[in-house]
Amino acid sequence: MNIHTQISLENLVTAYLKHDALQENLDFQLWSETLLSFFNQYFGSVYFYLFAVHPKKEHLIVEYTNQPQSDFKTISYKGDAILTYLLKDAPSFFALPSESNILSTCTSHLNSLRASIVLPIYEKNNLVSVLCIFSNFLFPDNQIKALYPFISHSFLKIYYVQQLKKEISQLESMNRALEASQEAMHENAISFIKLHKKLTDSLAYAKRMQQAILPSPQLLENIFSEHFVIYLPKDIVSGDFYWCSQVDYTFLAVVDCTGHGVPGAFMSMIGNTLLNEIINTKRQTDPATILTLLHKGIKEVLKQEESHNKDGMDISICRLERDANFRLKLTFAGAKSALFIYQNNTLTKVIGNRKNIGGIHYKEQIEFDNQEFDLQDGAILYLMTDGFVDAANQERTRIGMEKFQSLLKESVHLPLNLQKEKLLQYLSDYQGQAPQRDDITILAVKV
Amino acid sequence: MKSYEFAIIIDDDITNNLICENLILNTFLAKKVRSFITLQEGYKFLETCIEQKESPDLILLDLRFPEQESGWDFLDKIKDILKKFTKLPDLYILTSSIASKDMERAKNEPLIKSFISKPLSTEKIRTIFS
Repeated sequence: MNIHTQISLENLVTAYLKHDALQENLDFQLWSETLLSFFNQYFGSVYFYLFAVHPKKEHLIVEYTNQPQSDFKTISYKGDAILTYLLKDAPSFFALPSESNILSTCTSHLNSLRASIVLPIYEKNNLVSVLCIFSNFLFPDNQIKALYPFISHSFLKIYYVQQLKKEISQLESMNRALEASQEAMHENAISFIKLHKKLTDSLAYAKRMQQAILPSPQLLENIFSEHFVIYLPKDIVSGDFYWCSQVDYTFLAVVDCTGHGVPGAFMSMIGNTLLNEIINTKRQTDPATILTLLHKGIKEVLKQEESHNKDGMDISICRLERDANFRLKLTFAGAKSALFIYQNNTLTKVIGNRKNIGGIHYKEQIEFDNQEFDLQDGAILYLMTDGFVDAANQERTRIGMEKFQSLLKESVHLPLNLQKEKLLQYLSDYQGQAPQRDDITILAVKV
Repeated sequence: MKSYEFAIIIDDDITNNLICENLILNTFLAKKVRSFITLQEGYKFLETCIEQKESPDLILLDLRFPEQESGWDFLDKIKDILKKFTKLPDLYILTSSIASKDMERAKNEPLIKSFISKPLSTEKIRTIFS
């Protein structure tokens, strides 16, 4: 059949375009079959190979062939100058030379062969596919030359669709991975929330326990004509606590344990237990001796001489009594702490010993001093930890003892509940958005 | 110094009661002493005293108790009982309270002889009961 010799180039191209347009070329196989049927119709029976180019340009991969007996899947670039030529020089179609590896591989099973043409297909100068057609008759060069750009263009349409499909597939795969990752993150977030809730619940319960050891407002109301408590833990639980007892005498203490949060709270429980034991059980009534015993107790409980643990506490302790003539008497002892007394229109700062309980002095046997004062009815005592004084603003400047003292002086004439409000308002205004640094405790009582 | 036949102490603090019992006997403030750790126990005892011949001539009463009632409530309840005694006992408030309102109330209460600030000591006994 010599149809191809009788048709004009224009008609041949038109015929190809029509033939190509009629087919629904969804993939390389369908496209190849369409092209093959065109060649069969206009040129006669051909042997057909469509190769894809390996991404690393190391070999060609058989994408489609009409030779079912062909048993190879790839052809290596090595030892075939033609393939290197295709990559470097981007030539148009050409006939394969007889020594070409590609020719011998593709036609090894064929007995007779008259022609072979290679149609390289480039996408922006990048070789993306190689079409090899073998036949028992010669192809007219001018006809192949006329068809080549249209074949190439038709192929690239499929190629782009395939590339797009690949990209979509990759995107879908990435999307799936992302969804899986998001799911994992979501699960992690849920686990984190659950863990956080568990810890928070546990701490909230611990807070209830810590609140339970503090003297009740009712007890303070029974003992004092007025009082206020500012008790602001930095975290949920506090390293500060205040303590009150009416065994033999009236005792009042404010304690600042090392650290804050959970370790501070553990220390506060130890401190509370030791004060109960020393004062309520052992009936020690001398404030200075109480502090010495507390120091000894902390050393023993925490085994500080063996463990070299340096946890400790600062404490102010007051003993209040009425003598046989009903005069009110205060005995104060302090470990690295101070007490303010307001009476007779004067605010007096009383400073305790400079050493704290436990801590770095665990090796020493510390003695503390009592300081005694006669109190008038209506006198006010202010016991506090260093949390308020050390509270800082956003510029990291502390309130300081001087300012605290002047705040007390400004409001001593007010009822204690109003004094509390003023102190809290000043603290809030001063700190602004700055985070609370430490636990804050102030206990004020009017005797 | 004054001397009593029979003293009772009503206080929830067992240790304080033990110390007070010894102080009272050692200073010869009373020949016999007994203590009660709840207001309920104290009330029941005083009720039985009306029928029996022996009643306390000295009562030391604390003000703060773990019970709902205070020493003040107890005092209101025993007023009628005490009136039935052949002789009204000397009643002292023995407390660690420093509250001036308690002292004022004690001063204005005819049944109360005086207000003793805890802890009780030999010196306080000698001063108060001399």
